[in-house]
Amino acid sequence: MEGPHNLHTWTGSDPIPDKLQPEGVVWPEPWEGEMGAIFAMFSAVAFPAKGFNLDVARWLRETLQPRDYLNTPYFDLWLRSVATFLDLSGRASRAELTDGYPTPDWPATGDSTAVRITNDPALDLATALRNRALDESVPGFGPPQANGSYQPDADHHYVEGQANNQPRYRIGDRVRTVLQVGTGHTREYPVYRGRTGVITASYGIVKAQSTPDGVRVFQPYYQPAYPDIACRDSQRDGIGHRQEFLVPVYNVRFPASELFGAGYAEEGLYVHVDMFEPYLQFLSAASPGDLNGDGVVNLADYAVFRAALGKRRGQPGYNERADYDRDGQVSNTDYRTWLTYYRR
Amino acid sequence: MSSEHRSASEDTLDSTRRDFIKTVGVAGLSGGAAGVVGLAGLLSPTQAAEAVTLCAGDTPDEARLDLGGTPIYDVATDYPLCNEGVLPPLKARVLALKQLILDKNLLGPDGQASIDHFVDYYENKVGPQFGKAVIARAWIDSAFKDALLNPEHPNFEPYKSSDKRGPFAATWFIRDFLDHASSMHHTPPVDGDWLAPTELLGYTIGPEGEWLRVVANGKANSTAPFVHNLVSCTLCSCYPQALLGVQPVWYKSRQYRARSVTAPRGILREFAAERGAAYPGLLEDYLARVDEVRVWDSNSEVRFLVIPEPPADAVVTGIVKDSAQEIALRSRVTRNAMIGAEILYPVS
Repeated sequence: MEGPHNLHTWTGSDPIPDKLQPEGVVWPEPWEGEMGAIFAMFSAVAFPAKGFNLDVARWLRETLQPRDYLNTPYFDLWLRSVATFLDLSGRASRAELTDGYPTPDWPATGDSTAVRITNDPALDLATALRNRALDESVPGFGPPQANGSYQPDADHHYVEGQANNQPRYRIGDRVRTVLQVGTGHTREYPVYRGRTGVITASYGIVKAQSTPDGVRVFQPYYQPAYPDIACRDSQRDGIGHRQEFLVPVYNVRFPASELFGAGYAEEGLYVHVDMFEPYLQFLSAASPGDLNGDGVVNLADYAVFRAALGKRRGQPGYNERADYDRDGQVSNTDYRTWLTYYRR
Repeated sequence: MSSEHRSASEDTLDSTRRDFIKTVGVAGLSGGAAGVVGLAGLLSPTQAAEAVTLCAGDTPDEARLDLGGTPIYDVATDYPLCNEGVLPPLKARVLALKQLILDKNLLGPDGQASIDHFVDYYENKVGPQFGKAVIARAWIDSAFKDALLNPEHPNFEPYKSSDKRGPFAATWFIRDFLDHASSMHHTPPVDGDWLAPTELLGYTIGPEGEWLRVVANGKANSTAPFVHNLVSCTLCSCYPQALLGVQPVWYKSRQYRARSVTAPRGILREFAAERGAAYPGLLEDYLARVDEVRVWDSNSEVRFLVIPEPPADAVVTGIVKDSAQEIALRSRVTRNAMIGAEILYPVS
């Protein structure tokens, strides 16, 4: 979604509120804690396999009309998210959510204990936005198939449900982030799109594991699914099967000049952002001649180059690291470039 | 569901909370219709009457400070032309949503118990004390600190000769440290096996602690730039809860989220000014040493923890592990400094 939830570079803010909140204050009101608990359990415990996950949750709060989003307190955003999920998944009726639900814990108004949770325009908007998003392209996957499912595009090779743990990029690589505009949920925020940065960490990707008793097994690699797909269902008529693609994730470093301009007033400022592999395009490596990434430039790299010579982008065996002039083909011109690295 | 549950839990609201609510103001306390108190002239008589009734709760509306500023609702009664009309206060809607969820058993047969268990974890178990214990140990044990910062290559036994390494191995190292500290009864709470999976909601050190990266303020070595780190979640409020507990209101605010990536020094200065007259000068001395400000936007499920510089009057050399001096160092760490929004100041 493109909207006010992405506040980067907004400059019109008043002072940060409640800076001196004591460390012992968890939430000033018990019911805020209960809302937090409900939200967390829905997204992390109760429904991960049934249609609600953190990516869906974040997306549903983004579907608020922009003016309303800016005027909505934090816990209200989560309430809206859960309520919208109940509507989209058919677990609650519109009447239950918008006409007033009997709430004995709240003082009655006259004879009625009914409290309206949300309203029809907000639910209708969320439904419309979700339907629109199901037709849109996603970085690395292109537009959906006729049946509504997403498949990787020609430049990416991921297998659904598997941990696609063959990281394409390495620490030190210069990369550019892709452009996108859409109605779904993405973790590539607008201010970071179309920017050049450097990979500083590679988190890998693995599939989550549990013991037979259902206890999580810790693994020191990234596990959650690619959000741009995970927030969508692949059926157009209700929350159904959710596709899960596990792609490598990296941390990318951007100097302020790259994000905010060469003359930006804050000196020595760098922003580090995590990037899912489909958000990235390769520009160059820290050591361009080191094609196999073993830290040295030698004949082993020549062997890698030789295997890619003559291949074009899209063909099996094409190697973007060896395509130094980036003309879409690994050519003899690129070989002469490689030689300059080898001879240094 | 009787009203006794609500009354009992609110009766336990302690004086710290009440004072905080009255003097500082917290977002979303009365939510919704509270905003119309100042807009009574724009309401129909029916709406105005309803608003007065609905706002008669326990929380003074004048103390309410909304995250996004006082709400401006289109209170026109022409329903198709405005998006909401006036919804009930947020508190009412949360209680209604909870009632609906419990009535439908969407959280299992005893949903209220599940909610209570979750709330209990955040109120009574997790908190910044865990992060402070990690920081104090990192200050006195450079091998531990180095392992946290370079988990792919821990030069720290027993990990150096094990396969416990990887981008998020810091969670392993911290888990083992907290196990040890707990066994020494050095880390509250100690009632029960608080590191059991059922206590940590299924995670190794707790929620939002499974994919943890640790960064340190200062110079990595003598020739490196002096780095100050600031952590933010510009989209929502992702935060290393397992080590810091629930995120503070300011961290969730749009003001902090908007400015964290573009004006981090301004944020540090604003916090220092709020502390009092003595602090901005001390902060400027610190900022004069800073070569680079690194902002970590927590946009994936990775969470970041900052090891702040020790305050100028803290002794961190020659401290024995598990000693009283190490324990005392924990109280010199603040939650805000582990996010990078503040530095640590000398006591005087």
